Amino acid sequence: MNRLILNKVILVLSTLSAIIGISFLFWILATLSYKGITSITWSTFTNDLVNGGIRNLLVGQFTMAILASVIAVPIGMMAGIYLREYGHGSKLASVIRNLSDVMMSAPSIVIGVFVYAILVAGTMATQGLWHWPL
Amino acid sequence: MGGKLFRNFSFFSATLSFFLLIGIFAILFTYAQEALAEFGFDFLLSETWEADEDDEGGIFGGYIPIIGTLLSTLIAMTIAVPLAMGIAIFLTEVASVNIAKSVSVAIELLAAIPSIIYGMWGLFYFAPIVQSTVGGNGVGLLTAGIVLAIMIIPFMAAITRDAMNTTPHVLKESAYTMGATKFEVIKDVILPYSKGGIIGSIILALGRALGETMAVAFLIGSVMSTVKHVTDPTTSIPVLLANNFAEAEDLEMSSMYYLALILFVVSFAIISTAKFYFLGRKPK
Amino acid sequence: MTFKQLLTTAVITSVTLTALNADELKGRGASFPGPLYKAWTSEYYAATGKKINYTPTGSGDGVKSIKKRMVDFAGSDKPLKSKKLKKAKLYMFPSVVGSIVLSYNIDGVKDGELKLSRAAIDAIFTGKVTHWDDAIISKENAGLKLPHEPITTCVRADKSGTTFNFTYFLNKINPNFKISKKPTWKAAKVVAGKSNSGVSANIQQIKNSIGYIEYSFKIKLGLPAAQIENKEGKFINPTVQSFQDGAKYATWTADNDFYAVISDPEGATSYPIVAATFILLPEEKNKENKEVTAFINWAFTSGDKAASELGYVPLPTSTKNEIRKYWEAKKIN
Repeated sequence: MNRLILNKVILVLSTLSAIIGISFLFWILATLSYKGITSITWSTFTNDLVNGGIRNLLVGQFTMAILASVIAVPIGMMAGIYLREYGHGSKLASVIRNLSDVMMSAPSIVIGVFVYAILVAGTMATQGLWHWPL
Repeated sequence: MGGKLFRNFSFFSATLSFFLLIGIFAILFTYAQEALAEFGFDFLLSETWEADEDDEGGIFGGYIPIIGTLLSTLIAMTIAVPLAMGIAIFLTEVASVNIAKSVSVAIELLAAIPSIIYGMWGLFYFAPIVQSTVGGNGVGLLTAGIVLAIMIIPFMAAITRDAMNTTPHVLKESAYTMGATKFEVIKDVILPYSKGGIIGSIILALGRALGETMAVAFLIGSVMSTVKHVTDPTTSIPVLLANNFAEAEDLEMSSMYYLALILFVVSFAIISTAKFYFLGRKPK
Repeated sequence: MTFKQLLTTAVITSVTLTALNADELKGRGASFPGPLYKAWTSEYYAATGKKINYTPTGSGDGVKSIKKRMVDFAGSDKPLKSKKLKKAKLYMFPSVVGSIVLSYNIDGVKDGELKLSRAAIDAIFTGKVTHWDDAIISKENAGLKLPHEPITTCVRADKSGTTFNFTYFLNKINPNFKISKKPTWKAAKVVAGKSNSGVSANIQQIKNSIGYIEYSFKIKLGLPAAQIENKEGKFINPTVQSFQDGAKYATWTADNDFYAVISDPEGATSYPIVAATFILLPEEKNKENKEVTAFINWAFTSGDKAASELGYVPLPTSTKNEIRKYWEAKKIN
């Protein structure tokens, strides 16, 4: 009956690790909601940072998210469509798929430094890009 | 004609990631030239990071942040992988449907929380506990590693659970009818079936841990010193970049591009090795 | 994730700001006077309707930005020598004086109770002393029960004008200490944080720690701060009065673009770690410079109250007049 005992042991271990992991996660959720809710009032959302609110931060956050989505969603979707419809089964498609997987885990800070190098550092000298009319 | 345009655009989109990869490497390499010429490979072993008073030069070495990055990631993965696997098994095989559902919601919620929140939570609520139980300052390598682990657990658990859930019921049921225990079903049916997804989730989490900035910046101590004890404060590549990027000039700036290049190459190497070693032989 | 977000925000803000508010003045740099510049600019906007946007990013960044002419003016806690100003074609003058306090987190020791002698400060930050109950510290604190616990020093992770001014003071006590915006600290236990708020958070979280922060952060967060022995051997509490007493001893003249670090002034009632913060202007942008000096002139006339309330020390009237003459001479008033 060794395998039944082993089975019990493994299941208990799994439940235990789940409990440990989940209790950490609930701990964070609890402190977040507790600390967060007590300090949120209506004016938090309607005032700028100067007046003790976060409106400008929210606006910035959403503008940024929308901008990023506007650029990324079409390109990402088209890439997916290409891989599925045109490149299906081809060698190129599988290379691209693998590369995209690797790029997906590229450290975000490296992407940040890269964009800084081409956009900010590049234009510091010329100052041209910033004067594009919006 | 529209079809052709569509095809071309989709082709362009698909190959973009390839050009980005080349572009990132080329740009980082170009900007790192000055530091590469000045320090060469000694950069990897030098422990000093000090700018001259007028910012025009200095001695820069990457040993401490490189080791800090690798160690904090190692600690995080050691803790996170078993726990995340445990949670995923618990959710798919052990828990009742209702419990699994509510826990899943919580986990997905946590996977979506920005990392800076984990950093602040770690600094204000978790670091004092580490200080009183293990010793040290509270902030340091160990705290950063543990919070990093907590941060990637939901992410890893959610993807692993999804992968495990794709195991066809027929397979599981037939194993059970033949008298297999739950553990045997997990080991012999679910794991082989969902291996790809599980390893994928570990790789993604690994990439995230290697490059994590804000959570670690709050917790690692940001000090240029070698670790003698696991609770010692040290620094990591992303943290050093985030702290110094705005202020650096010339050689120091170039040294930071060098560090970014190292991080990029290291994570690229680890991730692609993992990917091709584990998944490469799978027939497609 | 977040660094990327930060950069993107920076990029988007600069793009939108330049595009939408081309007439708005932009400045960036020192975070030390950040809270005050924020108050001044919003009051100035209320009074005149003119918008000025100051982003507190750090002195080094300010100098870098103004050298590359990315902004209309820059803030820096570290003054630039005349030679460097000429090379980069910049004007410079001080705007306000602030101070640095030593904040600590020791159980049972309240605000202003800890007295730190010059020898003790040197010993703590060079690592000669590693525990709180060492004789060199407890000698001056007979009434306090200092624990036998290791000292953790909280310092800046980024290059900082605050660090420059603090190390300038340390150098006055101990000439071997190198003045730097980001020195290699020799203390036994060091934890670094980004910006004044990062250091403050570390002090709050780490038991038996001590760190240097700008005075307004001590006030805002209610952190305890030490009395510090000044040049004449007196222990001085950080108060606006003791800062003013110290600031009187600054020697500013227009001849060297007001290059002066006040650190460790004379006077029995002077608080020893006071520092001025400076404004940098690009020589060729005459029109914008006039707008900036108009703003600073307004601040010199009507902004003293806001400065004192936030824990800064307004410049003495004589210095303000010197600065006004400097503007006249450069034709930017």
